[in-house]
Parts: sequence; C-alpha cells; structure tokens
Amino acid sequence: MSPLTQILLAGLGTYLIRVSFIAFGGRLRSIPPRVELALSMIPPAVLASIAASSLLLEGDELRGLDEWHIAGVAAALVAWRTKNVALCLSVGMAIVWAIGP
Amino acid sequence: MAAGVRRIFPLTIIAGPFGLIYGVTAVENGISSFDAILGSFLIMGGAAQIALVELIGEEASWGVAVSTALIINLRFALYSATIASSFAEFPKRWRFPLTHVLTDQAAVTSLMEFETQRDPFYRLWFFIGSAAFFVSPWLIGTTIGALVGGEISDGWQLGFAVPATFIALLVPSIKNRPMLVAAVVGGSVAVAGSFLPNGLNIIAGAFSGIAAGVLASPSPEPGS
Repeated sequence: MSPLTQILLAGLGTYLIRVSFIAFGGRLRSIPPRVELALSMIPPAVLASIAASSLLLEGDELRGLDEWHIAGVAAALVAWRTKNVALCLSVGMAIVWAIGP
Repeated sequence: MAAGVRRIFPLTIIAGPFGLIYGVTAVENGISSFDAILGSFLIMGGAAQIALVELIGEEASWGVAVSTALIINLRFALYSATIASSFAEFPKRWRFPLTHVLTDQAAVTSLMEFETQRDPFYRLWFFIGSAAFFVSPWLIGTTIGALVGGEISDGWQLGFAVPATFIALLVPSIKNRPMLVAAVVGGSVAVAGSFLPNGLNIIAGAFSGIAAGVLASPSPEPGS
C-alpha cells in the first residue's frame, strides 16, 4: 500500500478518534473510570515503546554502546528535572554532536 | 482570541523544530515531500506521524504502520471526552472543523482556561486562537523539513532527533507510579520483542505497557 494511502488512513482514523465524544455533543457526561484509566496509560506505554526501540535497537539487533546512549540518558534527566521539551532536545542533540564521530 | 494565543505561546516554541524533525525524517524514509506535508495537514499529531513514516521506511506492513499511528493517537479520545461539553456549545460549523486541530497543547491550555471562563463565545475564540496559533509553526516546520530534508547531511546526526523527541514527550507523560510501570514494561517489551516482524514490537510494547499500568493502579473506589 502506498505511503499516501497509509497517511490518508491514519488521518481519517485520527479524526474519528478526535470526534468520538464530541460527536455526541457532550451528552456523554462521563466515561467509565476503567476506560479513562486505560486511556491515561496510552501515552507513557506507547511513547516508551517507541523511545526505547528507536534508541536501543538498530534493525532487530541491540545497538552497540555509543554516544546515543549517553545523550539519551542526559536528555531524559533534563526532561525530568526541567519539564522543558526544547531544552531536552537541545541538550541531547548537543551531546551527540560533541562526542559523535 | 488574543488570550488563547498568549497562553499557548510558550508551547509553540517546540512546534516548529518538531515539525522540521518530522519533515526530514519522512523524506529520509523515502516519503515524497508532498506526502510528508500532506501528512501534517491530515493527521495533526507529530508523534504518530514520526512513528508512521519510520515504519513505512522499514517496510512494515501497512496494517501495523497505520495501527501504531492510531494507537499513539488514541490519547485524543481522552481530550475528546473532557472537552465535549464545551464543544457542544459551539456552532456546528465551527465544532467539527475545530475538532481536527484538537492537539495535546490546545486541549490542555483550553481545558485550564475553561475552568474559570464559562462564556461559550469567549471559549470558542480562545480555542481558535490557541489551536490555530499552535498548528502554524508545526505546518511551516514540516514544510521546510520536507523540502530540504534530503539536503541535510548525516553529520548532523538528525537520526538521534527521533529518540530524543520521544524521550522529551515520554518523560512529562509519566505523572504517577502506575504510569511509570506502564512506561518501563512498554519499553522493555518493545526492545525484547525486536525479533517480531513488521514493527509489531511497538504494538506488543504498547498493549503490555497499558495492561501493566492498569494492573499497577489502585482499584477504583466502590461507587465512584
């Protein structure tokens, strides 16, 4: 399937997710606590899966230890202490540039 | 409207560079500049878009690529639920187009403002101001990244921007201990499942992380 078709499908699906509760015009006052709990776990679970595999894997092998690991840990520490996304990205990239090949 | 722009301003600083990273990542993965730019207009969700173009680049099956993007965007259902009663007071001709620009940043900013501002007209223009102002640098960054993407040399190490971006989004998303469990289990399963074909390790990580986070949560109080 062409990249364009996959982008179109993802766009359509994302709109349907966004409109889900809005389409009911606010008549659904509350969502069940279990559903809300599961939804709240999506960002940490999914973002960690992608962060870990893009940082630690190369194809289906573990990457050898290199500047990416150091920069990744530093970026995580900056994000944790400052909550500042821009600073976290800048520090991570600066370390990779400074000690990379 | 000006209030919406003002409130969201600090959050837009990252939108331009983030759009740039997505645009470059997309063309590096063999997506045409046109498709990459269209992706930002149609999906309006950076994390899902980066994951989608990476999976397309790895030649994952389309089912896995699209489902991974949609699982990442499932969090918008949570915003949809919490903002629905405010949106219900907007005219229909605004309500459904504005749904498309319901980003994390616009939702969080607006929901905070709506706690103290009850007037539907004020809320409508606050949302328009914040949402529209936020997506502009995102779309501009995407366009620049998609057009110059191929020109950027490997020496820039932009490949690291992908994990860096996800780390930057992940860390603030962890707000309590069960969410930390969800992240640790999700990340570990995704790495341990690297032998799975087609990027299925991401989906395996996502679902085991969600399940672990739910199991690690205190059970809801009876009657609540």
